[in-house]
Amino acid sequence: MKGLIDFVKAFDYRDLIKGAAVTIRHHFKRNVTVQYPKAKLTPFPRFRGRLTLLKDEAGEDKCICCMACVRACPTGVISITPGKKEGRKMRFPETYDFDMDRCIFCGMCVEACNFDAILLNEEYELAQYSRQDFKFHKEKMYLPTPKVDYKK
Amino acid sequence: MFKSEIIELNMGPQHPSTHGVLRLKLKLDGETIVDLDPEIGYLHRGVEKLAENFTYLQALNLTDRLDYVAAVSNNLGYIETLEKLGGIEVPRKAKYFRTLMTELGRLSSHLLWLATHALDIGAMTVFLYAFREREFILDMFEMVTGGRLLTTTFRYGGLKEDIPEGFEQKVRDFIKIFPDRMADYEALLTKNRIWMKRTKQVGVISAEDAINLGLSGPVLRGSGVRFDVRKAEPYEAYGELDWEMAVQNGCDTYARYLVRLEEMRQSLRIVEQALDGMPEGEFRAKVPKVLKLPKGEVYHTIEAPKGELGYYLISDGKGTGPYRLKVRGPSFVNLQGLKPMTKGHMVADVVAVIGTLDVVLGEVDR
Repeated sequence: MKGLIDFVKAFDYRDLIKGAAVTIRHHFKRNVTVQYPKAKLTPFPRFRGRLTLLKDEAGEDKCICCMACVRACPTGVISITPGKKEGRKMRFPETYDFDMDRCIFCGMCVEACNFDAILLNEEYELAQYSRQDFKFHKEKMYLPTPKVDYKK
Repeated sequence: MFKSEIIELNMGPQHPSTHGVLRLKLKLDGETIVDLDPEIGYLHRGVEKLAENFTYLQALNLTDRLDYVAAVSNNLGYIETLEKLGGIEVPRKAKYFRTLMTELGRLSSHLLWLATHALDIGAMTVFLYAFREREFILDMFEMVTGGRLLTTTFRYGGLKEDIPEGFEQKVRDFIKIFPDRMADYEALLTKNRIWMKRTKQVGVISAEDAINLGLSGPVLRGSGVRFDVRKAEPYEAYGELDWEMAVQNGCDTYARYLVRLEEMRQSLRIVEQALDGMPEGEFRAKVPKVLKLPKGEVYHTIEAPKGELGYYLISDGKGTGPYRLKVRGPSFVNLQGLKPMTKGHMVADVVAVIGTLDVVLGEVDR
């Protein structure tokens, strides 16, 4: 008898119809995905992208080589050589080296900086073709990361 | 006439259903599991040792990488441990906001669990829907902390930055849409006959065994034990908010599924209340620039999405970093339940049980 009841119950398709109704309803909803790389999303202002050096209004480095970022970095990817320049009271970074391949984008350096001299920008396409391209020197630090254009 | 033989089968570490690099050595009699031996350590990074060479703030980065799908909870546990040793009073606004963020983290973790658990058992639709909502939460994390997965949020004595503009509206939007989405998942799974056959009476563990093995979180509450660190020792703002503990008596995979769904609903309630009752004022207490903690030892636990997450910290009072940091990861302890749960079941049930334990190998191996 129990077998018969189970057999009849097997034709009660309410559970499956309920599930199918959800999927069918979703067919008429708008897509939530974006066709990357044709369309790109903009990150929020606090996004932690690549490390960049900043300049003040006069075009001078804001960095005074206090080494706070070097000490704060958990992976040790920043190294600075301080230098002296005529007409500038503070020291300035003669070299500012940054190894992006070991950076974990935690933002500890920016948090430690007392002079707002560095920033994690909004770039997220940071892949490069060679390992050397991940080594950022002072001149490259101001510029946006070179981009690879996708044809199609 | 026929010779029967027990064969050994390796499952993982590159198996898609083992949720990372978990290797299982199965001993099989036909398709029935006679014995099972989890092999862990493929993702070992030495987090506890690394922490000894870092400052207190830098070590926060390591906690992100334990349970990487619920990084906010890990951050909270670590920061609260520091605060317990430092004896600092956190502003009320920070407490409420931390509660809100942690519950959003719990939602995102449970959504990922629901997605992968359903995918492992064969319901791919839920996977896509759950990821859509998870994306919504990750956007909120990006808005507040700048990171989507590795949030590195919260600081000693409060928050890193104030609450960003537009965040409240985003959370309100989420609170509005989420109950409908939950109803969608339930329509697809809860009464579905395949789902019930795959989960009911699979991975059964009694309350007594669960306690003896030290299981915690939804796995323990699925066996009918009323224990939640948020209720037992309320931290942050949990004591002031109105919510209920999710408990089921089924002891099986289906019961744990119901517990987690109920927890998601309760999390949403907590998020709503924390947002409504968000106090004004400071978001961070006055703290020195370089953090130094007094000499001492402290242990602190919180309820992470996977279970009870504990940090044991020793400070020698001289350095600026932990002298020793021990992590009690819920995934690691919950994995002990795998053997008693799967013995005598089929190979396909192992996949369901790994899914229901919700282990993250980043936390198991550390």
